[in-house]
Amino acid sequence: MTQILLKCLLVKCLGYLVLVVTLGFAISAQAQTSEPYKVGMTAAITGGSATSYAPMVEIFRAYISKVNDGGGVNGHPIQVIYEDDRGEPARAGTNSKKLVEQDQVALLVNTSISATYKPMIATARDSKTPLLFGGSVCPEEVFPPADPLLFCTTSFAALFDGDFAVRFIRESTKDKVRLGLALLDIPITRVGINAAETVGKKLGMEITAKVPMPPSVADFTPYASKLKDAGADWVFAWSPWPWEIGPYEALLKLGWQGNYILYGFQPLEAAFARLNKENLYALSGVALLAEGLPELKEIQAVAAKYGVSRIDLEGWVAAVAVHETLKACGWPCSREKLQGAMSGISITVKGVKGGPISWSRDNHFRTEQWYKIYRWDSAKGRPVAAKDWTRVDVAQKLKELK
Amino acid sequence: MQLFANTLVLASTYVLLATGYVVVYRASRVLNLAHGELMMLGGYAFFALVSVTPGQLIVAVPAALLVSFLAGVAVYFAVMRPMAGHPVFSAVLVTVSLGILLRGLVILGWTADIKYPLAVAGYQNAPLHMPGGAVLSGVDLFAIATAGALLLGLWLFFAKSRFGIQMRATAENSRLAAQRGIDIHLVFAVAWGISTFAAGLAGVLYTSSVRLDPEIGVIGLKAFPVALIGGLDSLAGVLPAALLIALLEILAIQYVSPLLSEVVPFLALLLMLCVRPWGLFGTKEEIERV
Repeated sequence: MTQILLKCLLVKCLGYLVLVVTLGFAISAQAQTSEPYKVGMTAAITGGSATSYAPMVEIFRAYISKVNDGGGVNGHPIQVIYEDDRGEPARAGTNSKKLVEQDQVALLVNTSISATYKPMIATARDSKTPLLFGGSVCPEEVFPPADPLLFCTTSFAALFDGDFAVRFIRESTKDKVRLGLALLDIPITRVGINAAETVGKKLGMEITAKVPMPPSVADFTPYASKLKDAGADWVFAWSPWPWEIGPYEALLKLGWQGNYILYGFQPLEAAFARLNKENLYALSGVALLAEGLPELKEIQAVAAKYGVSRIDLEGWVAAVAVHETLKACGWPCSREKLQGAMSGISITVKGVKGGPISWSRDNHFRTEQWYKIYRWDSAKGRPVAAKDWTRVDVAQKLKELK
Repeated sequence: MQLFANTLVLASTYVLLATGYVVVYRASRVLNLAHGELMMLGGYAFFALVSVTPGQLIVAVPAALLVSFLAGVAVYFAVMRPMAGHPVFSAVLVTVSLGILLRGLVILGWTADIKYPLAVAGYQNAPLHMPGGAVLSGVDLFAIATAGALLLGLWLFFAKSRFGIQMRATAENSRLAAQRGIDIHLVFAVAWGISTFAAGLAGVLYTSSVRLDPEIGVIGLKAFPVALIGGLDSLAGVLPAALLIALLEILAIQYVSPLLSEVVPFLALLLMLCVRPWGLFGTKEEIERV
């Protein structure tokens, strides 16, 4: 009797197993074979800016692969068509036209330098295709009153970063601050540095030197000498990574003893460990992998599974946003429907960001911006928080800054 | 004093790079527009070698320089020699293509990530306080010494060695040199080798001091006005031109506007082309009218 019961149970279990496996395959197969959501990305995968943008594309690709392997969105896979624009406006323009007209994508994604924005925005407007800036600096058009078609997930934002960094300097220093500013001289960095300069002056700081640097620098030492000679005890740099870290390393070479704050792009973690200096601070809108949170470990596991060696969490955040907006759009998902879905969505990336990215009808940047400031702790041999996640009300801050 | 020290450091980078332009131009009348990328290649060779021999700079640096020298020889035999008989302009265009190809290959091999070979080797570029209050790093001092040693070594080589004299003869009149039994292809290949050796030195020093990524080749173009101001066919002109350009740049950064540092070398070049188109020490006869 017991044997018969056991046999029955075994047959039942096997039956369930077969059912589950078959269903799993069926769902996966449906996701692979059914009509996909089409997304077109133009990115600086090669060229001068690839150092910053290629790691974002890699992790973006890994996230999308993970979603597709898990059955896709609403039973449909996400097909991302990647185009390399090398950070060149003409290529970005051609890419976006091809993606919109030939590939008929529902959503455009830009992960490239600001010079590529104009032709892409023109194409997005002509074809009424939503355009997401994922990993590339948020353009003015996403701030209130936002262009209905343009959205942004990128954490770094010229006006806000400069303001937050300078306020942090004020909070952490009792004495009068002599602030030096360093930048690669391009329009977007000028916005960030000018904001820092204005806020710094308002907070009673002395701006000792503002040092713009050209795109090709054979030696950062002369620029660093200018900052040092001006007597800066704090320096804020907001630029692409080489122009942020270059002056700092040159200042170290000159024996400078002040404090330095920059925006923490992807190479920051390696730089922290390599330099082992406690006077380097970095503000960031995404967590550092070294924090070792379970969510971050999961991202690292996904990266390892899909062969991604360089992780830039901005790419992950952009991919989550694409996933969530497509989910909200449902099926079928037209460009118009997607735009509507994006205009009222809130995206949470737990463990990576301090708070959600919430878009409203008028605000396609986000309603709240979150920052954390890190510094290197040489005793612990890892980065630690110099200021924990802090919320900035975007509408209020914009009023203040404008 | 710091201003003087900064000038010397910048000038040493320019000396290493401009020497490469001059040596190749003297030998073959080709303006090598891939020189910056060959410097980058030297940097990557250095990075690859320190990665396999961490802490062994004494092995990695000479090996990277040997790789650079051999790369130059290979470039000559693979790319430039087949261009013999074609207009020089075509050969110059080939060097542009070579630069693009090298950048692509480097991205394929090492990605576009920024790398720091000195850190991989386990060394730090520590500041050293000089008499007079100036601060230089160990790599800066080494760069100044290396640039001086390279110029001295090349002067001795071209003035005293048999092969150096053969190279000068070939530079003067390659047909006559060939008729006198000089293996001119070997001479051209060695000229390319010396040029990329100097670029490799610049690559090793620049990547030890600043960073390594596929875009550092653009620094090569910054040394271009130095070579032209000194005289494209004159090694003697390299040092004064490098010092002049470096000083002008640093004065512009310090006292006028840091952004002018990008423009100043080309302003100086324009001025030189107006008053003395063959450069400070160049040969007047070498200039062809458009």
